[in-house]
Amino acid sequence: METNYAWGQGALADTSLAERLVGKRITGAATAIANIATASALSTAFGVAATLGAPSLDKLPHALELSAIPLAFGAFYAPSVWVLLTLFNRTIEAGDVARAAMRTVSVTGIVLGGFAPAVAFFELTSGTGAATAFAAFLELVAISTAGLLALRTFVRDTWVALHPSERDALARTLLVILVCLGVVLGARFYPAILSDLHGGFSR
Amino acid sequence: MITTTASITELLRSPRAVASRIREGRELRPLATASILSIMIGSATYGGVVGSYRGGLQIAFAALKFPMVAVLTLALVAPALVGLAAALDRRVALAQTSALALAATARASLVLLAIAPALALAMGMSVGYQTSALLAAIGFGLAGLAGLVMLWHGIGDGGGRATLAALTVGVYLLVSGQAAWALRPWLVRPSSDIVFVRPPGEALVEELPRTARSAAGDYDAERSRERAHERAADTRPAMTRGPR
Repeated sequence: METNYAWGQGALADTSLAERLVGKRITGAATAIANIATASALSTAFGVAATLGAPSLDKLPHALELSAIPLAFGAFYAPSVWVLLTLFNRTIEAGDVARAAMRTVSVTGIVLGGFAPAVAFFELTSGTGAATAFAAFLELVAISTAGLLALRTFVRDTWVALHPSERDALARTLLVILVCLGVVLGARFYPAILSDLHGGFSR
Repeated sequence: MITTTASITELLRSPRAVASRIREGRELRPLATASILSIMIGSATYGGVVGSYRGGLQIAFAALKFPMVAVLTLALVAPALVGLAAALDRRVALAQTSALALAATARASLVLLAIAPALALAMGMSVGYQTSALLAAIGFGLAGLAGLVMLWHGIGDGGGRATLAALTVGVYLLVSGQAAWALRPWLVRPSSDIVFVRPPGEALVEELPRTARSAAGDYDAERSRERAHERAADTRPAMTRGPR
């Protein structure tokens, strides 16, 4: 997969946080850790923004949980994909899968972080029960968007990392199964976290 | 050196050229000045016309609040656009995204400026509240399309262009809708008081279907009666409350 340079060839793009986070050049462990920390902070910022309608320190751990889900995905699903693909004689480097997982965490963080100011605004300007429920619904849509874009990144990066001659139906099937598992993971945990942040949203 | 006036002309005539200026980071200062001027003048004029439905102080209030909605929306949409663009593998910087969102809003505001006399004429012909609201919304929609053209060129070719544009427009509609709702009232019925901002009460999501029904002629009589009672209750306290 190639980065699209149609937007951002100027000098301004070189200093971009987005480029540093989701760019392909991860030069070492320090950069990787810094990227994961930044992405997690951005996801947490989204969680904190979602609590602003009725702020409480008790909700802070739930805001932190938001950043834990992509990390859990990276920690459990990425090794599983590498093992399964290798088991079926597909040539793929563990490092490539790790990089794909890291970009998945980064994409989730940057999308959620981007939505955070708008979410904060919705929370602060929603007065009644219906308005806060609608804000919670929009937050679920934002989280779903982030999750789907992150899954897309993981699948595309993994696909590109495969040897071209091995990009066949079996590899495609494995990745589709992975996407389904990712969607189930997100559907299982994200609404529950939103419910904790909003107090009974899922009901 | 491109002047501010030339930048305004370019915003209207050649969104593609403006988009390439933003991409290259070239002459952004006059573009930003032109964009901010366009937003202030265009949206304030349109706001003033919308406020003229009620007249008086509401003209000034609406003229002041319209640019606030535009700028607030810009500030909230730009970070989302950066995140979405990065997720779709497009290299972007916040400065470029902000410049693009600013230019798109400026183009829309200039179209609002162009539409304002027609809206003023329609309102001067004593059309009803619902028709005025509908006409103002149509004008806003047309201006939004002009802004979308700017955004489309700014995003540039490549994979994910339509997805990014659709997501951005979705975020823009939601945020601008909420910003406008938070800063209501705009038209103000003759029977209502003029205030700068109403306290948070009903939700936009509750009001939209009701407004759509009202616009279709199915006016909620029950709600109207409730409102009348509320207004009457508001005027009573001075006479009835307190120790006798």
